[in-house]
Amino acid sequence: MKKIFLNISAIGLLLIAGACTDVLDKQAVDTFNEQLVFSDVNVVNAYLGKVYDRMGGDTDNGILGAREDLLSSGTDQLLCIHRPANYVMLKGTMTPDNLRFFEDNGLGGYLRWGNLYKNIQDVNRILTDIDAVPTTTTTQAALKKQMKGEAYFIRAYDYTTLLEVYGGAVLKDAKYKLEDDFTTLKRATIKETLDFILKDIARAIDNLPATVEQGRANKGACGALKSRVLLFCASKLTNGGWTEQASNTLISFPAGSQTSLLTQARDAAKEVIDGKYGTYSLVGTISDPPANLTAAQVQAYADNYAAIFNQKSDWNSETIWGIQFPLTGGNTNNANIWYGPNGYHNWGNNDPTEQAVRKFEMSDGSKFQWDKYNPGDMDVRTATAAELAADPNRNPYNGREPRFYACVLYDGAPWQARPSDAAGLEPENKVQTGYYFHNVGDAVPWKNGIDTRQGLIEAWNGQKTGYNIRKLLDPTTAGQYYKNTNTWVEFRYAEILMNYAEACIELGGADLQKGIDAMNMVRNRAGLPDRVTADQATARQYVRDERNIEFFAEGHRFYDMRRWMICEQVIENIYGTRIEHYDNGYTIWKANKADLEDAREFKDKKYYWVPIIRDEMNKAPQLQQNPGYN
Amino acid sequence: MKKNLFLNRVRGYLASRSQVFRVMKLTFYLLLITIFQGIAANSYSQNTRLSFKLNDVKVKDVLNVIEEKSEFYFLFNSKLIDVERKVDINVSNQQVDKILSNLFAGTNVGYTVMDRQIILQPSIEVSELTASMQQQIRVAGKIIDATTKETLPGVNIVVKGTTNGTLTDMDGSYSINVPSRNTTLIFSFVGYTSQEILVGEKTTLDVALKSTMTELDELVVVGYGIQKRTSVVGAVASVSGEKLNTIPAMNVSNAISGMIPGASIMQTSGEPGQGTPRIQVRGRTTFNTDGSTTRLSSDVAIAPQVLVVIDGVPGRSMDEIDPNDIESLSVLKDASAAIYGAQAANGVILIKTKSGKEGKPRLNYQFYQGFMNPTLTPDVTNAADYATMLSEYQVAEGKARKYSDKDIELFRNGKDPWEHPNTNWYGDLIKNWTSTSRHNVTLDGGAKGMNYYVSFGYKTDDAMYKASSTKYKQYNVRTKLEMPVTDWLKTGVELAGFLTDRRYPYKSADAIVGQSTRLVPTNWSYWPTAEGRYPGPDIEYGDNPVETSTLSAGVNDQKTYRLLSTFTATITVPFVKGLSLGGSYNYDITNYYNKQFYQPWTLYYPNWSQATRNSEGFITDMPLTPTLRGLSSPENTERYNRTINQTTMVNANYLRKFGNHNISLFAGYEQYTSDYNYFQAYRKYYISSIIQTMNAGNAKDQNIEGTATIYARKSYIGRASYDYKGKYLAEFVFRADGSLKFPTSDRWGYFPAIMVGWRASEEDFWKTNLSFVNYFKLRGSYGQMGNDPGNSFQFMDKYGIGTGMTFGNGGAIQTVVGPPTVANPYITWERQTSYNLGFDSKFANDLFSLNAEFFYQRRDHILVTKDASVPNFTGLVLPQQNIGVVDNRGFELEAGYHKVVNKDLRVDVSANFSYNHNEVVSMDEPAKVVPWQTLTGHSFGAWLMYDAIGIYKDAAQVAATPHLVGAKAGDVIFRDVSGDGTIDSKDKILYDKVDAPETFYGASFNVNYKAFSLLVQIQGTGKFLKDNQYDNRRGEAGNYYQWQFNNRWTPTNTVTNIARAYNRDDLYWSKDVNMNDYWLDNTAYCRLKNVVLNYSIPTRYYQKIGLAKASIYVSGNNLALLWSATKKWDPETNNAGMYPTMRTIAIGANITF
Repeated sequence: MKKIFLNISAIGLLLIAGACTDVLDKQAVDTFNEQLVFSDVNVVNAYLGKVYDRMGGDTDNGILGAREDLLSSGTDQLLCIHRPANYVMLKGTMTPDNLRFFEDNGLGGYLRWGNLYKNIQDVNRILTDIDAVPTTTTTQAALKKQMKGEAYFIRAYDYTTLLEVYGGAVLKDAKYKLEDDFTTLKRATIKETLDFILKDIARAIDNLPATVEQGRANKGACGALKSRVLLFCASKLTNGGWTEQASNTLISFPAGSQTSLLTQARDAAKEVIDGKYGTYSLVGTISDPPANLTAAQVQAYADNYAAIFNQKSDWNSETIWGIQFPLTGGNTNNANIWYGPNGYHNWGNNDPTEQAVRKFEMSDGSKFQWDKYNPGDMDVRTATAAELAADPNRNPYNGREPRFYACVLYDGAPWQARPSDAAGLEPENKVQTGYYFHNVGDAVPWKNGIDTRQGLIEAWNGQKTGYNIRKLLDPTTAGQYYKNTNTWVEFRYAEILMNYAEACIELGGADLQKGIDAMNMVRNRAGLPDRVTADQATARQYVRDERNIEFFAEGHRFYDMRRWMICEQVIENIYGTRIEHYDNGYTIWKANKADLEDAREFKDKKYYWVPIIRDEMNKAPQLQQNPGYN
Repeated sequence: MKKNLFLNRVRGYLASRSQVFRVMKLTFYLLLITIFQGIAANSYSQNTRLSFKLNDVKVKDVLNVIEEKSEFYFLFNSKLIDVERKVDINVSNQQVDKILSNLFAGTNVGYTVMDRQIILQPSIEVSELTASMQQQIRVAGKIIDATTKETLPGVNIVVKGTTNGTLTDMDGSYSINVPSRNTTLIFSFVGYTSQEILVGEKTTLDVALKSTMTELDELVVVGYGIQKRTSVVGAVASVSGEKLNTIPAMNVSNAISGMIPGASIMQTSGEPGQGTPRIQVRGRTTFNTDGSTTRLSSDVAIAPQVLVVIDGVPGRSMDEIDPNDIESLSVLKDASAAIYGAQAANGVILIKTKSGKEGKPRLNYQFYQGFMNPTLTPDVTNAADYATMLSEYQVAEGKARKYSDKDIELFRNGKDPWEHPNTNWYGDLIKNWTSTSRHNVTLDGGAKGMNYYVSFGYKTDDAMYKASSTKYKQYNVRTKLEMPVTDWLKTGVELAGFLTDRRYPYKSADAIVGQSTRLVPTNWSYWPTAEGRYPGPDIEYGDNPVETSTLSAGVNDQKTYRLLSTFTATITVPFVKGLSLGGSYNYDITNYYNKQFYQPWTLYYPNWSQATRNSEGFITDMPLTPTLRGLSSPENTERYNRTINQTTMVNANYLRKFGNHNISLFAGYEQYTSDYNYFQAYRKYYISSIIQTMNAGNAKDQNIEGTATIYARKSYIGRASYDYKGKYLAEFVFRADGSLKFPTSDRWGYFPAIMVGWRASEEDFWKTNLSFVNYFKLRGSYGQMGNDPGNSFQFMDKYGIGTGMTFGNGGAIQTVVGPPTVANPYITWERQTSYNLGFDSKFANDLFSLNAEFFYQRRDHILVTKDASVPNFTGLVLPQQNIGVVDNRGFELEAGYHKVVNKDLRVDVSANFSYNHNEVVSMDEPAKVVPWQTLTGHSFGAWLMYDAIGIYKDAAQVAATPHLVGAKAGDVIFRDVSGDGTIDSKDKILYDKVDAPETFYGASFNVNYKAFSLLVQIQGTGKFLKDNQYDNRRGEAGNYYQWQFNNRWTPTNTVTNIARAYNRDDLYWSKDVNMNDYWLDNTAYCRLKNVVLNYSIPTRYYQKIGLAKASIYVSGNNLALLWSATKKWDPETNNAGMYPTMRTIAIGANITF
């Protein structure tokens, strides 16, 4: 009996022992909590890293503009072949229920209302709590100060995006808590939003050290952001350009603000030019280019320009700030597979439109003229072998300005070595978007170019316009296997010069020539001769055309065509360009009006602004919707 | 000696009445005995002579010796025959009757020798009553089975109130002297209802005993215990393990599909090693397991996890368990699950594995060899039809045609296989039959309470690919040892080990099987060369399934090593009658190792310009260029996972009968911890594939990952059961669970349940008035259960760890933390309140049975985000809060027919039908513009999309109907739900039945005829809408399905329900552009699920070679789709791109030594 008791007690003891070591009192083994994060300046820094990462929205597939579907496909420059219907403002289908590109996390996520505020809340957590983070060394204290500066920059950047896409934003400079009352919070006016941004930029500049690790926010980025947001605010759209909404303070500045805004924009750009935030310059030469550039010279200018978008290790002097991408892990950029030709097993997205291609000038700075050889025919160009031999420029892709060769992959453009399975099909490593016929009059080509939608490799990824994009691609990356590591250049010195140029030209008078001079620096660097005019309207057109080309595919056009309010003029249907090669050397280049690739129409002024998504309006009915949307 | 094993069992049954569920077998043996009697020569007893010498042994040992040394066997009732008496015996070359007369000299034991069988019974002459009873009355008669009319040998007849009695002989006859006419005789036999009969004036008393061998006597595993079917008051469905082991299904859960009312089991993939089905008990009352309400595009949302308890240990996996090891399986559907508290709300499946049975070692071997092919493969268009349809699209949209009419003609006539192939990708991928097999050996036995059970199993499944690359192998061993230490202390050890070996090619089934429906038939699987088989170019990513289904691109090798161990101790407390204490400790460790070594593979590319052409211009031969595709260099990923689950349990059981009151009390404490971690490394740029170790790769671009998670739970469990005469039953259950997932303040959840039952058929009034309903039990239950989904530690702001930005100029990635999830400091359980009303009934002497359950469940405190009230501009990533409410109601019916026609033929039919419907009651959803888009009031997962109501027949109809921009004749018509004359997002409506079917059913027919038994099972579901396309890249980038081709709209076929030719996402009605129900199919189906035809080989064929029992069988799984609402793919799988469900036909055998 005793033994039994002993055994029973033993089990009892086990039970008690089990209860004492409480299995429920454990800390998480795989995550930090807020208290732990803000007890260590290095962990706060890691958190700040995440905030940078999430400037691209809630995804690991690109940061800012480096996306599978480019923002420029929402303009007259490019066509997104896979999801054209997503660009709802070009279709007249944009409503608070139908935002498509602007609500797709993976594509336009960096422009998305919710994502931007999420990142702002993350910044605000840091800004609210960072002062209390203990530091012991001066290095740590300096890091803390720098992090504050970076946080202010990111907040200013995110609010700038909100301002430029939606207008006035809901402003907040501390973190929200779940128990806060959200029912009374409203959108600020666009002016208040700008003031808030400028204040953040000023604080960022104050806190940032002279030099920072490459990739982190720096003073130059602050200056560039200031220049960008001020130029946007100083433009027609927000200064009574939409007459009926001139008094809508969410999207319009008070009447009479424009000159002051232009002046501020000019000065902001000038500060950067003057080296207040560091020394930046255009890469390459800015002296006048020689007349009658040789092909080799054109290529050299093109290579110099293309290299800006292929920076990997140390950035060049033109790069003010950008996003770097790793080869494995983390947030990725797949530019080559996203945009490259299908004949390289790439996906052929974001194709340059015929309209945009024709904008690139001839290498002597003269306008490209499609109907030069057959005046009046804006659709078809032809050339026999003999005609081509006599004047190679009958080929519309010949004799163009250097940036054309750095930006566009056209039929016959030299490109990467073909992958082994395609090498037999196209051994010359030239883009092949044309069709091959034996004889004029043949109905069916004997060969479809390897980079067409009838080609032998992944034809459904073939370009639809006759062109692939060249800019942003890295010629040394085999897109089908590798990610891109080239930097997405968010701010470069050329933008500052062009911002300065535009502000000056818009101010006119004594500033006009200063503006033209700045623009000519950018042109000269590209191998083009100076523009000369004393007429403000002509200069305005010059600077706008120059921006269109210089920043081709970089995303600026989406903001530019809106702030200038030219969408009604530039948004039009996109047709495929068909190129036919005949055995005897005869070639046809045809802007094929029968091949409507994307029906586009800018149907209403309301599409100048993106509406606030329906869900948000339902959650916060006190918010004021953008005009024209219900 | 082998034969004696079997006979000892017979005797064991007669002596002990616990093994009721084996009685059918016993009856069978007895029948055999009767048969053999006629066959065998009657001279055995005269011819057989025995010699042995034994001192100080029990009588039963002597009997054993006789059995061992001869073919004699004894039948007796150990209550009537004193076999414990010690004797000395010394015989030499004696006949058995001599030995017996010697052995029983001076006792009341008489014996009858009939050939090899010897019946021992108390002889009337020496009955103790003889002397005192002056007027002995002799009663005699025959005992038969009431249904089969067979005579029953070995039936006990006892004079009530005494131990005086006898047994029937081999003819079922008996005679007994009774003291008076007032004497009552009790007739009893294992597996039959005892009868008490007053002798009265009769001298001949023929009795027909009724078999009790019904499922009522079946033992049912319930939470923390076992109950007789008659005592169960909850809604518990069960299946015995015997039903499962001959079905050649992928795993146990697939085998039971359709057998359990209320449990919907769908096999979503037939890929070897990937057959984990989607199990839902009574449908869904919660959102996703992680609490998310977001639908993953076309995926059918993840079903909430059912709790699986194996041998009392919660959370074990039932994927790998060998069906041979299963003794029984139960599903707790109502408040009876509340005893599992916080994990019980989605239903509980209980599995009890087999234990050793007392007796000499028994060896059983079972195997089957099965042959499999897909049930239904998706039909896609051939090259000519594909080219036709693509051309139609291109013409309609003003685009250049890819294929001319001449091309189409060549595709059709097959004259030019080089340039105009017509590839059947699916046909080139799969073989006609593939194989599966299983082997199992069990050994069990025991003595003096020391019982053992050892089982070894091996199973292998091959994929349907011609390349036989994918392979699943499973090795399992299970041992169970019961070791009594003293009279009051029993200990036990159970060890189960599994090694599962999954081998896959580099490409997943999605990229092999799924892409085979997408690859265009105008490409080449193999080039049409005369001399060999060269795989043609890929569609993309190196995907040519005939090549990527081989191992040439490397191997994805997954091995799971699982060791489950249990240590138990039970103390029968000697000084408190009915009290026992138990303790157990489980340590389950799972190691998972995955190695994926991949290398580029070779595809062959054309050289058109070097082709040899014949006079017609067709290519007859062409040099091909082998090209490496798919990967830039060999690469290697290795991953180790480790999971350790520990469960500690102590409990007390009190079981006592006070007169008519039966009381059972149970109290326990349980503690569970789970620790998981993994480590993974990746390298590429291997210089060769010969050395595949991690260090042979290049450090450039290497990647290393790993993390860990923990979970723990503590629980207090109680149960009190009471019944009065087995007539009024009540059970109270209580559980308190504390979980690591929740903050200290809300850590404990309390889950009570009450269940009551009334066996109305036991009442006198019932017996008098409603006797045709010979069994009726009414049951009712109410209880609360919980569900603790989602991640641990949601009560604090969690800053997860990841990789993020690249700073500096070296390309190194920074480790980043965050962004945080906002804490919900009050997070706690989901709670389910469940009401169940049910009855079990039997009619016309068990000929019919009808069981029914009606239930209502309300799930509240469901974790959802408070979406409606926190604007996005706050940037707050909302935590889940316990605010959702979902209602679920339904019923289950189960009807049976059990007829024993005669001794040779028995028929059992049963059918079940289940229905449930859930409805979101509240979930704080944002306001909707139109009321019909509000999820509240709809089923879980209701899918918002346009309502496709037909196909525009012509332009006039387009013009006359509200339509989206660009609509043309042949496009899908969207209904203008809002009636405002335009089609916009207001016209989307919610579709229910996209998450699970609301009705499902099963039926089973079981016929036993002589040595044959046939089981036929049917299973099916009601309406269930699933995505009918799988991959929308059709047209330029993929083949069309045949259903899209047949009867499609064309300018000459305008009145139809199939839309015109389309391309990918180009048209407004494309799935990814504006989802609409043109892309949904009803997948209701009814299938012939299982068939098993078993033949028990008569003993005479193998008796001599030492076998005890042998049977062979032919069986099948997923044999035929009897009916299916969609023929586009197997309706049980999620979509047409899944690895299809396999039909299996197997032959097998079961042999016992």
